[in-house]
Formats: sequence, structure tokens, C-alpha cells
Amino acid sequence: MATAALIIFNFLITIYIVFGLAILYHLKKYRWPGDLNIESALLFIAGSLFFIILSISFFTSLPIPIV
Amino acid sequence: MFFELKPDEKIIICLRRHWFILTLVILRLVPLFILPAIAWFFLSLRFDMSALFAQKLFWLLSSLWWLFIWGGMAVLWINYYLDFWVVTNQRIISTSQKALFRREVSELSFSRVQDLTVKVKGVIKTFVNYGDLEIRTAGTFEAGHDDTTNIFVFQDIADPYEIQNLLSGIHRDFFKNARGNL
Repeated sequence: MATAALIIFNFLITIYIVFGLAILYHLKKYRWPGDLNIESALLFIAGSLFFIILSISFFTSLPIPIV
Repeated sequence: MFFELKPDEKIIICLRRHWFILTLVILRLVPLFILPAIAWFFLSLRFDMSALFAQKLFWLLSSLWWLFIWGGMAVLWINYYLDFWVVTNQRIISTSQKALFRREVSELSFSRVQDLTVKVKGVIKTFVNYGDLEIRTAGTFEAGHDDTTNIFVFQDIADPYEIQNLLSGIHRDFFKNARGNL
């Protein structure tokens, strides 16, 4: 059960990271002098890290037997 | 910049859709953010949520939900922010971010501009002061197509009447300079 949960969790986080990298790619590629792309990217990274760390902390605290 | 300016070309204004449009889009996601709280209320009525496993699983699923909503908000921001129109003294460049992997860039020279029409429809658009500015262009009208193929639209821009006046001025100056160069 723990292995299955870990695989599903990793899969979802991997999808999110790929998705997030695509977002950051767009913000980097279409930069404009004096625009908000860098600020947007930093805010997006900060929010994503917050929710990813939150998810990991809840996942690791799940009372699932490891064996 | 993703496009190069021609010699003697300078950027006059960069336009985006009105901030009110972004607010409306973001407001649609707020109920999704509070959905886990509503789900907790209904689940606790039907199931025993005091068990440690149920609580932890619920918060795990909620945090994953919020993570993907956050990503969705970022995509909406990109669709809004990377959708803009650049007006230079020679042409208009339109970049339209339809989706994360769908982008259209087109340009229109002032030599092809024929007329400018502002459309502000509805109470909200009138009071918030935003609307569409349609630029009708000279070109071949293809058989079987409606005339919308020759219209360039600045969608939901702020102060459309001022922008219309600005474009008229640029158009006039463009032709004055073109005649002067002959």
C-alpha cells in the first residue's frame, strides 16, 4: 500500500513539475524590458514550493505501514 | 524582445486586456480554492473524520488540489499577461496566447489600416471603461469567408476611445511621413 501511494504521489508531483517548467519557460522566453515576468515566476515558484512541501509533509505523516 | 524593430521604428504603446478581465477569471477559481473546506464539512457529516488516517489523507488530497489550482492560476495569468498588442510608429504587433502551447503573433502595417471602430457593449464595460477596438484592414476578401478575416481586434483594452484617437494620430503621422519621403 505504501509503495502504491508513493508511486501515485510521485507521478502527480512529476506532472506538476513538468507543467511548472512549461509555465516558467513561457515567462522566460517572452520577457519584455520592465515587465512582470520575473516577479510572476518568483511568485509562482514560491507558491508551488509551499504547496509541494505541504503535500510532502502530509504524505510523510500518513500512518501507512511501510512493509 | 521576441521581435526586432525596424530602422526608425519606435514603440509607442504596449496594450493588454483590462485588469478587470483578469479579476473575473481569477474570481472563478476562488470557489475551487475553498472547495476542500466545503468537502470537509459534508464529509464530516457522513463519515467519522476524527480518525488520524482520514484527517491526514484529506489534507494530503487538499494540498495536492491547491497545488494544481495554483498551477491553473499561473496558466490563466500567462494567457492574460502574454496576450498583448504593441503599437509602434510603423505597425501593430499582436501576440495572442490562446493556451499554454498555442501562441499566435501577427503584425499589421499602418499602410493597411482603413478604419477604427470601438465597441463597448454592456453596463460593466461602460462603467469600468474597457472594450474592443476593431481595426479594419485593406486586403483581398476571399469568397466564402465573412469580412471578419480582415479585422484586427484589440480585445477588452482599457480606455478604447483614447487608444482610437492615439491610433488615428499615428496613422495620420505615418502617411504624412510617407508622403514626405516621396
